[in-house]
Parts: sequence; C-alpha cells; structure tokens
Amino acid sequence: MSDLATTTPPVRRSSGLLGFLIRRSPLAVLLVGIFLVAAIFGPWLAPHSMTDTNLSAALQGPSSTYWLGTDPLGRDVLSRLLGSAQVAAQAFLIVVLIGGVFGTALGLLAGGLGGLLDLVVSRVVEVLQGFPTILVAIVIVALFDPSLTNAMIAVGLAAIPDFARVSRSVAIQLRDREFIQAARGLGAGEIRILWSEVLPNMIGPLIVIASFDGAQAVLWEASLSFLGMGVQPPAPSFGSMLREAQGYLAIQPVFAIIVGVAVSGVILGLNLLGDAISDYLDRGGK
Amino acid sequence: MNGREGWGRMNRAQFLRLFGGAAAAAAVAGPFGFVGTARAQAGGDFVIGISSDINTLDPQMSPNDVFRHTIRSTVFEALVFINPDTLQADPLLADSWEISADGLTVTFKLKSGVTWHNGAPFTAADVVYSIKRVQDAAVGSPFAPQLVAVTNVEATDDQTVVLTLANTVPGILSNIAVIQIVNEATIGTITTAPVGTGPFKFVNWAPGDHIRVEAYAEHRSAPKVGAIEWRIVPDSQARLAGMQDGTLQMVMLAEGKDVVQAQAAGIEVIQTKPYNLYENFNINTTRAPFNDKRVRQALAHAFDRESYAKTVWFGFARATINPVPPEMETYLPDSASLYPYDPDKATALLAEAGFTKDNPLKMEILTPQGFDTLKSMALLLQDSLNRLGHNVTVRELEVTVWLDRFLTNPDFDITTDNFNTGPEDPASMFNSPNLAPATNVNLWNPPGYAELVAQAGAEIDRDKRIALYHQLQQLILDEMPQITVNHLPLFFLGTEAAKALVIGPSGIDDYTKIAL
Repeated sequence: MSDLATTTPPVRRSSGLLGFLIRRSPLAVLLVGIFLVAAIFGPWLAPHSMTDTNLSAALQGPSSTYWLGTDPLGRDVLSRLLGSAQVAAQAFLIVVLIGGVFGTALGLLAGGLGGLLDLVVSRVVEVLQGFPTILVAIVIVALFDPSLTNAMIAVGLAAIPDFARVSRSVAIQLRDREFIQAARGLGAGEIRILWSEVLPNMIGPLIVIASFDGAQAVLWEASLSFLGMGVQPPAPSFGSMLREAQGYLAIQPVFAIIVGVAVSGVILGLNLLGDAISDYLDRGGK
Repeated sequence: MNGREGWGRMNRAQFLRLFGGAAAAAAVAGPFGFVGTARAQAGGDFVIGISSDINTLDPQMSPNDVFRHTIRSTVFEALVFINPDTLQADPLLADSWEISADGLTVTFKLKSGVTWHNGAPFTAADVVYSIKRVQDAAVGSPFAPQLVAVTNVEATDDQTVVLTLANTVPGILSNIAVIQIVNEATIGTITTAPVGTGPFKFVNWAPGDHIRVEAYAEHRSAPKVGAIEWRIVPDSQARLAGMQDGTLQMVMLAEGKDVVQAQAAGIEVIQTKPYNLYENFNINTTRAPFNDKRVRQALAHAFDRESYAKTVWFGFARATINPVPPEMETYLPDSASLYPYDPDKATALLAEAGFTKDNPLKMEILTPQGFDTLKSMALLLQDSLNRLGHNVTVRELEVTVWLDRFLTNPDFDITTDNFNTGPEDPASMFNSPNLAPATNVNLWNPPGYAELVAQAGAEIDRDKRIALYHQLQQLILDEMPQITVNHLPLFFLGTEAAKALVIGPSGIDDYTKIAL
C-alpha cells in the first residue's frame, strides 16, 4: 500500500487546515486574522479620516476619542494603522503575484523541461538573486517615481528567484514519477503535463513561499516607506508612521510604541503562519 | 524541499532582527543615517551635524550653503561682516570704508598682509574680479541682485577698491557682506579645491557624508579649533543622539521638536533673534492657474499658520504673512495678521478663479527631504485644500533633485522653503533670491516692481523710505507671489564650546572664537 501512496498524485487537501493552524499556532491565526480584517474592512472600521489633520489634537496619547492617540499633525493613529494594513496587504499581493507568476513559470519550465533552458534559467535566477533587494528597489524608485507600486515591483522582482527555485526543484522531483509517465504515455505534451499534472502538486510549497515572501514584502514596504521611497504622503504606511514617530520619541513615546507593536505583530503573525503551513504540509495535511 | 528550508531559516533570522518594531526600518536606515557616518574623531575637531548636503563649494554660487553655514563662513570672507549684536558692518577683508557725501561712491581700504591659502597675496584686483564675477550674467550667481546698483568697480591701488553706484543704496554694506571674495588664479578649481582667505582651509568634501576644513594658521585671527567637520546626518533623532553621545559638538538648524527634546535632555540650545528665518511657500507665478493672484490669495487663506506655529514649532515660531518682521522700522503696521486662516474665503476666491468642487484645483506641492517642518507645512496645506474638494499632491524630493526642479530648471507649482530674513535693511530682502525683481524664485515681476525696489533702496529720507517700503509690502501682500508662514530664530544645539559661535544675520558665521 505504501507503494500505492507514493505513486498516487500527492495532491494536498485544505480540509482541516484552519483547524490545524489554530491548534498549531493560535497566535499566528489571531495576528493574521486581525491584519486581514484591518486590511479588508479598514476603511469601514476607521473611527476617523486617515488624512484629516487636526493640529489642536496633535501628539495625544490614547483617549476615548482617539483610541490609539494622534500623530504630530493630529491625525488618528488607529485609522492610519488600518490604512497602513491595507497598504501592507497590497504590497503582499503585488509581490506574491509578480514573484509567484513569473518565478513559478520559470521554475516549472526549467525543472520540467530541463536541458539548456534549465541551465539558462538557473543562471539568470542566480544573477537575480545576487542583487540586494534594497538596491534594486532604490534603483527602480530613482529611475521612475517613488510609489508603492514601483517599490513593490522591485521587491516582486527580488521574489522571483525564490519561487523559481522551489518550483524548479519540485518539478525535477516530479517529472519522472509514475503518474507523470502515465500522462506522457497517454500522449499528453510536456507543457500540458507541467500545467495539469506538475503545477497542482506544487501548490503547497508555493503557498509556503508566498507566505514568507509576502511577509518579506510587508517588511520591505515598511522599510522603503520609512526611507520615503514607498507610499507617498499623506497616505499612511507602517514605515512612514514609524519614521514620523521616531522624531518624537522623547515627546510622545506611545506613538512609536503603538506603531512598532503593530508592525512587529503583522510580521510575526505572517512568519508564524508560514511556519505552521509548512508543518501542515510536511505532515501531509494531518 | 531545500529551498523551503532555506527560506524558513532566513525569515526566522530576519524576523528576529525585526522583533521590537522599529529595528526593521532602523537596520535599513543605518547606512543612510548616523550609524554610517559616525566614526572616531581626532582631537581638536569640532564636529557639526547638518541635515542635508551643500550643492557646490563655490561660495558665489551656493544659496544652499547660506542655510548650511559651511564653506562660505569658513574658507571665504567678504569685505565686511554684519555683527549680529550691533547690526553694523565690522571690518573683515576691508579695514575701513568711506561713503561719499552724495552716497554714490564707496571706497574700501583693504587689510594688508592678507594671503590666500596657497600663499599668494590678496589684493584689490581680487575684489574687483569677485564683484564682477557675481555680476556676470553668464556666471548666474544668485547673489547678483545684491549688486544691482553697482555700476563700476575698480582698484585704484593694491589696497583700495572703489565702487560706483547708480543710485544711493543705504544698505550697500549689508549687500557687500554676502559677497564672498574669490581668487581669480584658482577659479578653475573652485568647485573641487576652493582657495580662500578665510580662517579655515578647505580639506575635502565627501558628498552626502561630510565637509571638512582645517585651521589656517597664517590667518590674522587664527582659529582656536584644529578643524571643523560638518557631517550630513539626515535624521533629526540621530543628530540628537550624536549630541548626547558626544560625537557631535553642534547641530545646526534644529526644529521645534528637536529643541524640546534637547532641552529635556539637558543639551544647550542656542538661538538667534526671533526673526532670522522665515518659512514660506514659493509659488511658480508663471504657471496657470498660479498666475492668477486670487488663487495665490486663496492658498494664503487656506493655511492655518497660527496652529502650525503653535503645534509643529511648539510655539517657537511666530506666525506672520509678511516677510518683513515688525522689528524693522519699515514694517507695514498690523500686516502680520492679514490673510487669517479662513477656508470659506479660500473657497470663495478659488470659485472666482474658476475652481470648485466640480472643477477642483489640481496642484503639486514640492518639499525637500530632511526638513520635517516643511513637510508638515506641505501636508497641512494639502489636507486643507483637499478638504475643500481640491486635488493636491505632495512630493517629497531629495534636496539636489528639489533644487533642480525649483531653482535650476523651474518645474513646479508650489514648494515649501525657508529663507533668511537677512540684515535689518529691507533693501537686502527685496534684492534676495526670494523677492529680487527679474530673478526671484517665484518668477514674479509685475510692471513697476523693479523701479519701486530700486527707488526704495535709493531713498535717503527716512519717512519717504518707510513709505516706499510700505508700498512694496502692500504690493507683495496683495499679489502674494509667495506665502510667508512665520518668522523663526535659528536654533543650534551645542556643547558649551559651541556657544562661542557668532551667528551672522545673513547666513555667514564667525567660527574663529570657538575653542574646545
């Protein structure tokens, strides 16, 4: 029977994933849950406008009006954090889309078809990997304009190698397995096999990569916005808020602490979740 | 599955680095901030933190250096120095001067025995060359308007320079005080290895990192410190930390929040008169719709400068709409409070100019990086106008890019800026790069303005002079080529030794008295 288990396409089912994650890492589920709710429903949940200034209420601590206090221009910190979550989620999506689509396609073709194509793709991926992400991001932002999209395209390019490497190694492992040979025997073309047989079997590892690369993207977005190269004012971002808070450390430390905790929570949650999903897949979804 | 393992490890390590919040961004900011520039210092160095770099070493071409107080104040000298206490001219390269009875000739007697840093003697020919160079349209010096009345300059002997003026200029010494004297023989290398007569010799400039000068032992008032190094530390919190850990002896041009935090940390705060500087919005008055004065007036009504002074500057700034401070006898009475914050008035004026919620005003506000208060100004104006239904964006630009879009190749709607109020004499202000006829940064020059500025500058009768300057102020307050927001002192954070710095009113300081 064990033979049969290895020859059956190891398609992983998602049933029980949430239950597993809650048991395995309740903190991750809680943190990512808050992040997702903030990112999706932020505009409706925000008690105040994200951009409306009110100098008479600048740099206040938490109060019943401003639950998490106000920034130096009197804008509501909670509302701006909700907006930042949305920006972070956009960063997550852009990076995972760019990295996922291009990286997976490259890795799948290279690993599945092998030969010269594999050689070329592998070297190109290695070269891509050689560039420090921040450098690529700075170059792209300098060439074009600082914006969330440009910054995240740069980070997305940097994510391509990760997806490519993983999808390539999975494709290599799978390409000579019995079910693939069976498909080949039935007359399916190589591209068709890659698309309908190999790709579905690497969804699991790709989800793990996506969760880690996405967490990374949130971090890069914050870093670039901290440096003024990401989201442009007055739109909020975790990075630009940290930057503002940092200038007032001795005057209103609560501001910096709240923003710092929020950023840390999101990154911590996404990383823990990635680990937990990884464990789930390692155990074959049990 | 190697890839995944690798990823897991990498991310956990990265995550650990980040844990604690700001560490993430700080780790990235490190190379750009203080961490990257801090290094052990040699004895005798006076190290000063500045927020952004200068853009040239040429003292006649660097309006930016006026705010950085670096090369112009140390490597080079002018004929006279405006003493911040007396507001009179003190001798510098000129030993004495005489203004003729008709006010049209100024004769400077130069100090003898002065040498350039390369050992060559300093003579009257250098002064003639320097003044002509500033006036040369091909050179394009931003200080040219200061010399607009000078029709001739000649050396009658090695120690005597005679200026001929087209009309009387009561503030001529204030104007001369900002014209640094350069060396003709080494002019070819002025942007890489400037040679001056000042108390400090140029050592090196590592753009984006530091500017260094060393004491010039042959100078007649030999400096007491061995060297001065200005370090570019863009982050205000890092500058404060540098003051606290002793890597910096002084921080130039601190903002309100830095002053509050420095005071709490027991760091000495040095401040000049309360009107040394003003912050403002410069407007491109040649670009539609900003060529319509109603739009410019509306912008003035849309900015709450009282709240801005009180909150962003922690009360250290004094709100005003008039760049001429009340301390000057030429000040137009009660003008500081004109154009109060009034969104309804702004809406009405914009509606007259054709801009309503249905046809919103589109505009981009530029603001230079490293100036947090200016960024706040931009954000506040943006928010105010957007709340009235308009469409305003803010673009924060790296300083050299900003200078290019603002000054070199004007391509802007409106920008935040700060500017030296200048010496007490308003003639200097109306010939400054912000307001000088024909050459001002607002590109604003209505018919008759140049004549009025010249007439006011030449008037000797006190009452008539005041009346003319009142007329000029009424003109700029009606036309609103720039929106002045406040008057400010310059704030310097420093050690006890730093208190010996003599801060001049027009961006030129005396560093020779500082001793460690």
